Amino acid sequence: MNAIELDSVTLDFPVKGGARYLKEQVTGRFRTEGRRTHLRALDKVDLNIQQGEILGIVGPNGAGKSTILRVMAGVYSPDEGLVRTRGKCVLLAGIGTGFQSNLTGRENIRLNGSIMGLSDEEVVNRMDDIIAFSEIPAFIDQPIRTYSMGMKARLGFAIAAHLEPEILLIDEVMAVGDAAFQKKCKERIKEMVSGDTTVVIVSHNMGTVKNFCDRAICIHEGLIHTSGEGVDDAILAYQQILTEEE
Amino acid sequence: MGKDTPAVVITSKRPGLLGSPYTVFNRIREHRRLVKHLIFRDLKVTYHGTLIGWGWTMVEPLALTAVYWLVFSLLRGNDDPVFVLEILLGVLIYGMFSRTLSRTTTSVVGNSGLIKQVAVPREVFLWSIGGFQSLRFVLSILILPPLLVIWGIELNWTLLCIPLLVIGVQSLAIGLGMIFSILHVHVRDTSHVVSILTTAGFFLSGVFFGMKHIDQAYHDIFALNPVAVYIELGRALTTGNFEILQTSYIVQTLIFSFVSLLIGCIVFVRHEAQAIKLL
Repeated sequence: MNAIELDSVTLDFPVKGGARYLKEQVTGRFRTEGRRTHLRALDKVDLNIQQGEILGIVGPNGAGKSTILRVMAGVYSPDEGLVRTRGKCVLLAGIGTGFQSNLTGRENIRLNGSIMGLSDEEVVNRMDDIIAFSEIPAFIDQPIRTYSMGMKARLGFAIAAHLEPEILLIDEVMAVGDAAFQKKCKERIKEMVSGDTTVVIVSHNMGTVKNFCDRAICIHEGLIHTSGEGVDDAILAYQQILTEEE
Repeated sequence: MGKDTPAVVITSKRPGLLGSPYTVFNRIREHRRLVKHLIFRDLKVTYHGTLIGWGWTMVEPLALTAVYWLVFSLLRGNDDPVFVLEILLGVLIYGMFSRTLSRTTTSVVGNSGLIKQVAVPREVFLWSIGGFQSLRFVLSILILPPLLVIWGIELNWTLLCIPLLVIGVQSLAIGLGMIFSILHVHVRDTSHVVSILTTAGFFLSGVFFGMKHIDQAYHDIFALNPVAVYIELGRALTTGNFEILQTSYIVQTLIFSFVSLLIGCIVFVRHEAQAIKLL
């Protein structure tokens, strides 16, 4: 059974903002003057990801990798086509987003857990594990503003690591904290991906994609550019695009 | 994940005109715990590091009362405590409305980091602002019963209807806020315009005067300002004196607020997906 299905998904980003864009949106006068008003981020993308599968997405900067992840997560709605997901879906991107600097680490765990979809009971049950994983128990009742960047990242990842989703979408968040903590993060991600969890990883690190993924695709200019479906095929397609661009 | 796990389907289709308000209320109901967390986050953050914490919600209006009493009773020779009470209610009710409106207007842009990372309904941020400002207002008016006793004004059962007033004011503020928050994503001047409007509204909504100070011929025009009617209603509920406030004014204001909320929900639900792409 597919955990994620993208059926002819198209997504456009407005190129310009401001009053002019608003006027065009209200009057419905798009593309009437022959000028490009939109940037096509995804162009009729079809993609099925099976339950328990680990998919890597590679591609150059601005290719649409993060956008496709956000479409899967429900952050962006497609302009055409449809996205179908089965199970609790969590997007790991920008670790620690939404932290309040004047609240303590513990209060931020409660708030962030709630934002990420955990119930109050789940937050209470996982609180000790999150604090232990973050390796900052001595500071957990201090305001976050007293934390270093590394400590914030640790806490952010610790929360993310205990969300227990059925679909995990990871956007370049493997490198958190010092070398020892990075190792711990990778081990935790391995644990998460070893079960039934469906995982989609966006990364520029080909080693990460090779180590973790069952399958990979290469995205460029909103289209899937892969001759086959293996990880090596996607990496090859990515390298060819980079060579062509040079 | 079992075979019967229901699929979540995301398309470009938006709910219809009637479906939009239902969608908003349903999302808020589903995410009520998050709304609660965000309200208490705001309460903690606003009064963080202060000696008396949220006690400031009561100390602030008390201090204002002292200032108004000093200015109007001592300097202008008006020793009617009802006058001071009316100004205090005007300031508190207008403060709740204007803070909710200005903060909801900037809430989508202000929470852009979170909105782009987590698929939570964006209405949650606006409604939690409304919830926090309502809570702040309710805590502030806890000073009313003791003040009424001190001033020898009879405590009236109508005071218990203040929560209904809060619902009316916040329906209006959140409804307008939902429209302005989308507009603000497209045109960042919106927050400045709202700031000017709320400042002008402070002087036009009868905060420092009341309907009784206006010629009766102009009452109908004055009552077209829903915030002015809410301020007048707050005064009437506190003193139990409804002589000057016609029922038709209250009904038209409640209808106006309800319609604002419905239009706000429709605009927000139908345009937020495109607006988020501009964050």
